[in-house]
Amino acid sequence: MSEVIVITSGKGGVGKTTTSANVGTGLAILGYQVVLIDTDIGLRNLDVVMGLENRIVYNLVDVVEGNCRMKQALIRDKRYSNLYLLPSAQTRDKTAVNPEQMVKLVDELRNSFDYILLDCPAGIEQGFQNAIAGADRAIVVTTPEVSAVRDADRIIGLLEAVGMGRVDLLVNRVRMDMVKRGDMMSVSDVTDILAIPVIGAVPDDEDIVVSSNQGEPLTGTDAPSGHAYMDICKRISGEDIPLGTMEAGHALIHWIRGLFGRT
Amino acid sequence: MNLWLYLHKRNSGKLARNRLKLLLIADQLNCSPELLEQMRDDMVYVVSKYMEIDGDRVKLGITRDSGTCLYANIPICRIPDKRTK
Repeated sequence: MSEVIVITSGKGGVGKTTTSANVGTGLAILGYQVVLIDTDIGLRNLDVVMGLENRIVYNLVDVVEGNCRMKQALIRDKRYSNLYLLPSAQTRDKTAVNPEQMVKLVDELRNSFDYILLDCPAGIEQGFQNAIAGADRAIVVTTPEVSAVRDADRIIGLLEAVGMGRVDLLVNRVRMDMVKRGDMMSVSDVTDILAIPVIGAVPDDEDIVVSSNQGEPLTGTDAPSGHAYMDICKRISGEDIPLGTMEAGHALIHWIRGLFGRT
Repeated sequence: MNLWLYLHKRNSGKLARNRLKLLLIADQLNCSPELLEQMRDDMVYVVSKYMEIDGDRVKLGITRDSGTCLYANIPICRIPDKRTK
C-alpha cells in the first residue's frame, strides 16, 4: 500500500524543502521505497538540498508533457538506492501542470513506491492546488512564529475543505532555550492553537545549515534535528514514538559534546 | 517603566500566543481584530448590567467541533442576589 504525503505550509521559508528531504531520507533508511517530488515549478530547490542538482536530465513537466518516460526522469539518491527524486522544471511556471495531470502522475508512481512525498510551493495558488490534488495525507510545517502559525491555520482550513484524509502538524525550528525563558511559543502552544495532531517537533539546529550546504540530509546522523526527523519518519510509518523525548535527551548529549568543544 | 518593558519583553512568547489567538478568530470570521475587540467590549458592557464579571479575562474563541461556533468565556466575580432587595 503506497501513501502520498504532501508537505506544505502556506508561508515560505519555514522548512518545507528541508523537511521533505529529511523525511524522504529517513523513510528510505527505514527500508521503504521512497520518491520525492518537487512540485515547485520555476523555483526548483529540492535537488540542491538532496545534492542531486548535477544529475538532472528530465523533469516533472517533461514527464507530464510526454517528452520522456517516468523512469528517465527519476534520479536515484547518492547514498540510498531506494530513494528517488523527481525534480521540478526551472524554466517553466506553475501553469505548466494542472491538478488532473498531477493526480495521474502520482497514481503512476503508486505501483513502485511505498511513500510518495510532494514538496509543495509556498502560497495557496495553483502550485499548492497541484501539490495537494493527488495526496492522501498532509504534513503542515510551521515555526513558532505568529505569521507562520497564522498561515498554517489558513492551510489547514483549505486542506479540510477539500477533504484531505489526514492532516498532521510539524513544528520546525524550535529553540528550547527561548521557550524555557518564555520568549518563544512552545510546541504545545502552537498545537493548542491549531488543534490538529502533531507528528513531531524539530529543534533549530546549525547542523541543518551545514547539511544543506553539503547537499546531504542529516536524518540518521547524531545531530539533534537528525534524531527528531528519524522519530517523525517512524511516526509516519505507524510506530508509536512518544513526543518530547528529544528535548531532554539530546540536551544532555549536547552538553557533553560541548565539554569536548564540539556542538 | 524600564522594568515593565523588561518584563514584557521577557514574556514575548505569551504575547505572541495571545495575539495569534485573536488574529485567527478574526481571520476565520473574516472581520478585523478591532471589530472583534469592539464586540468583546460590547459583550462585557451588556453582561455587566446583570452580573459582576472580570472584563479583562473575557476570552473569545471559535470551535469547529460541531459546526463553526463562536464562544465567549466570561468569568463571573459575583452574581448579585436579587432576593435581598
